[in-house]
Amino acid sequence: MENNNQKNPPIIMLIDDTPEDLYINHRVLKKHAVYKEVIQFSMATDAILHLQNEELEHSAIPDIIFLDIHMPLMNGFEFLDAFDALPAPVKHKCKIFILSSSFDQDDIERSKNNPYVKQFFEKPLTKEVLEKVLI
Amino acid sequence: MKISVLKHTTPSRILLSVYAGLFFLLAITGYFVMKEAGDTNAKYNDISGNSTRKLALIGEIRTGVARVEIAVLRGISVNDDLDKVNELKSMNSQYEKNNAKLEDYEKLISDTMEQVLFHDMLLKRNENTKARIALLRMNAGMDHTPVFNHQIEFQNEQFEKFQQTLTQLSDYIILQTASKDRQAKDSVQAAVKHIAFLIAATIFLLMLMGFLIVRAIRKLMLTNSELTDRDEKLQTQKNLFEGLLESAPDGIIGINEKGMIAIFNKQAENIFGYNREEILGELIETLMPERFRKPHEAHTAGYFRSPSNRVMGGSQHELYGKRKNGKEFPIDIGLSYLETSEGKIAISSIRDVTERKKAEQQLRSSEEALQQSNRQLKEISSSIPGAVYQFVIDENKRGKFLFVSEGIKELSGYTPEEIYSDDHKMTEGIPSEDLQLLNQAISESVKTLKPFLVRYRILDRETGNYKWVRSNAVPFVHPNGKTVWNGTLINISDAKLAEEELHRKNSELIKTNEELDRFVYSTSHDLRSPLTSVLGLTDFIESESSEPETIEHARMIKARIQRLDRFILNILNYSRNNRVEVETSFIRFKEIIEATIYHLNYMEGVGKIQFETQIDDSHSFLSDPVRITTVFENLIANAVKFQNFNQPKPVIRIEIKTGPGHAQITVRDNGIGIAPEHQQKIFNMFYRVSGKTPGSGLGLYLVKEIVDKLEGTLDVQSEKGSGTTFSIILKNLQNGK
Repeated sequence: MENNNQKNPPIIMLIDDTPEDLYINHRVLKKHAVYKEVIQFSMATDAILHLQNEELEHSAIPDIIFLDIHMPLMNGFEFLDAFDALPAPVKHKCKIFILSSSFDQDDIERSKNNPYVKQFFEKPLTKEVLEKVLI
Repeated sequence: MKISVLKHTTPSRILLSVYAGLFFLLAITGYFVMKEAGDTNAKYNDISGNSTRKLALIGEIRTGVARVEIAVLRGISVNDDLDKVNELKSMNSQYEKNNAKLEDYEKLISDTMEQVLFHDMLLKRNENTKARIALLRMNAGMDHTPVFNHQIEFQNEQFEKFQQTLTQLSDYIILQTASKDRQAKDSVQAAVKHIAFLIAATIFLLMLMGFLIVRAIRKLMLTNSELTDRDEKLQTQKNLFEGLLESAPDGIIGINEKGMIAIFNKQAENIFGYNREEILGELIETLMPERFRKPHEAHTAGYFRSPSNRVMGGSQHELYGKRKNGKEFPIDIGLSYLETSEGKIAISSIRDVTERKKAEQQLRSSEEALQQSNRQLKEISSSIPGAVYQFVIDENKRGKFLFVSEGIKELSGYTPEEIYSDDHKMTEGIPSEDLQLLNQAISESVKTLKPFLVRYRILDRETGNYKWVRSNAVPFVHPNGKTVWNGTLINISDAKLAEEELHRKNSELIKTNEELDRFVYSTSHDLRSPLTSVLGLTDFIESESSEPETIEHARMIKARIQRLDRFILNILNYSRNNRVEVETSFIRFKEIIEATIYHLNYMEGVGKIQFETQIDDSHSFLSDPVRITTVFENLIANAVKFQNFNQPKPVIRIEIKTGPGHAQITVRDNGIGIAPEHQQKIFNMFYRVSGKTPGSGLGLYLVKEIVDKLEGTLDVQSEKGSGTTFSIILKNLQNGK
């Protein structure tokens, strides 16, 4: 996979309402990951709008999305609901990981039960987590 | 015992004397009838003779004037007609005088007649003219004849009168005679009838007598064998009598006029305890208690004066007998009597009523007990708050109260009596929706025969407010097939108010709790979110700094942050444990423990500790994985925290063994241990052994709470300096929950 990634580095999308966390996550990615592009959204609604865009080429669809749960206006779960309505190519290509400070079991269970969520990680994003995601 | 029987000849004797009397009566009657017939006959003969004589006399009178006197005198004397006699007598004397004159006249007449005849002859002879003769006649008449003729005419008139009288008399006599004759004939006929009847009656009686005499004679002629047969029959009857006497259910005692016992049957022996042989001939008073003896002697004498069949004593008097052993006992006595050849015998049939009296006494006392318990029921039922009732559904499906206690007055405003007379009063003040509930509950209870419990409202007619009552009744099917409930009706207005208050408070509390939960949840999140940012940033410092002290500081910051993080986690878990229902699934102990140890990596010294796990979860174990995770996190964190790192080999050993009913979990460390005085307090909220040790004091409290929630037990064994063992037994929640 690592070879794969090197040949075809992923597009990574970060959705988090906290600027510090976006900064940390971006910095961890820069330090420990190989990627084609990092797209950041502090509003989940903007992220959905981006993914809904019909002009979005297949190559521009993110491969990995790190999604926070607790966000104003549209939280992580609402994003997942909206994601369900997105075009099939988008849904097929995006792998969603929850990256949240919540350790509430209900949040964790609910995340794990969502078909689009690959895994649940506690913040902060670390090298160990990235290794699991990018393998 | 001896019984005299009347001799069998006596009835014949009586019959004979009756016949004799009858015959005598008949003879006397015959005599008088005959006498009267004779008298009548004689009278008839007299009358008949008299009449004959009278008729003869009258004939004579008619035939001869001369005999008139006799006839008249005789005939009249018979008739005893004094006036007529006197008249006749005077007439007779007149007549006699007249007669005498008549005789003279006759003589004169005959003389004259001769002269006349002579003159006639002369006339005829002379054949003179008629005038001459007439003249002659005139002359003659003028001389003698006119006077004479006048006298003759007068005499003739008198005589005709007399003749007439005689004729009347004769007719009267004839009439009388005919009437008497008829009377005589009638009386003779009557006499003949009497005589005929008498003769017939006599003949009948004679025949009857003959028949009876023949019978009597035949009876008298009974042979010896017949007499023997009769004796045998008598014996049989006697045996029968004695058998009856002996088998009578009552004691039968006969006493003679002297008051001595003459009959004493088997049952009497049983009752009084005397043998027949020893008691026969004794005074009846022997069988009585002392106090009855004297009055009884008088009663006995009185009874024999006018014996009758009756019951002795009567309802007012209790009679007692005395047994041979001296014991008294109550008895009933019936009295009757027998006439025997040896005189009157008073028969007493005696019944020992000890048992009956006892039963009566028991009945009385049980009635008293019943009344007593009725009183108690009333007292008790009226003293309890609310009311008790008995209620029946009749064949018309109408409810009816068989009993309601006094307390109903306070609840419904009506007395039990008013409710008995009108059942509607019981449901009057119930709002229709409540009444519907009540009726539903009752019909359900009719079907299922299960108790019903309904809370409903009754309008308080005094205040206009509703009272809340609770009606609770247990049904049973009465032997008559109807369903009957025994129930209570209790005023629960206060309880209802309290309940409403409680409900209000409860919902307030629920709301507050929910708010608190939301608060804890959002707070813990709000607290944690910046912590994770700080952790991320500290990671950068730690990994990117070349300053050893900065790296060390970053690590310290990180440790403190993680401590705070665990604390926040525990607060959230505590809140969660109270809030969230237990959700069961299969517990993968290995995974949980590995994840826990991984999460505790941040803790100081974790790397130096040797973790030993021995897991036997071959029995699948169901419980709440989230809570169990919290338990392990806290127990292991606690073991790490209180580990003794000065020893060569710090160990935390975790043993798990699952079974069908329970799982046994132990977490053992060889750390610093807990002093005995702290051991029971470590599970208290926010309890901390000392200020030096890290921790919030929430961890073990949370463990205890969760174990309780998962229906388990938690125990701690510890020795200061050598380590601590936590033992948990958790229920396998595979059945339900």
